[in-house]
Amino acid sequence: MRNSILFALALALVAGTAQGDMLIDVGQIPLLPNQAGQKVNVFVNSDVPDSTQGIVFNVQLGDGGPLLGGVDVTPLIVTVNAVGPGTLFEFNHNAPFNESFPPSFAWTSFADAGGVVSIPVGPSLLGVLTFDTALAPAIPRLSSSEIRLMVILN
Amino acid sequence: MLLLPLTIHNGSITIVPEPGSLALAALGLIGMIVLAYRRRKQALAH
Repeated sequence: MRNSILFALALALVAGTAQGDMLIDVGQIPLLPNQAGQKVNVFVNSDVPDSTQGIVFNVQLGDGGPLLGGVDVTPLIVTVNAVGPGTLFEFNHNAPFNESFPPSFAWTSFADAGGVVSIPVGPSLLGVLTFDTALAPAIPRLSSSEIRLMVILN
Repeated sequence: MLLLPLTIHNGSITIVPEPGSLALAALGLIGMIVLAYRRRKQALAH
């Protein structure tokens, strides 16, 4: 009986340590008013080493804005840069495909140039988002909105 | 080839006034309170 309990405990411990997870926690992002070029780093945090061959990285503010059928007029998301200095893919990527539907949606997508890109344990810079709160639209912008990321690492 | 599940905790963006603007607003409020206090004191003295 005692051996069975010890075995079960050991099994649970092994299972617990072997099963990893990868997390992106966006959190609350403060932006300054009337200022272009505000950059926000997005990190991915991994429990165990892993690797990837490419990325699809979408960012949506609020309901996506008028160009995507929404009504929210959010601060402007200008770019998603996942190949800049310090990013996971900095030294191994094909030309990224970037597109935006201003003001509330931007995305980037690309594959590794070759092999795989290693994802180490701990936080790694996945990309840099650039916001612009200086441009004044005809309709006042919301001072606060949800930010939703959709990231596929494959 | 990614083996781990990727979890995303989404958040929010908020345009916040610059600290300088907040300080200026706070100073203005304090000034108004002091002014109101002095006027009330003068009115009671007369």
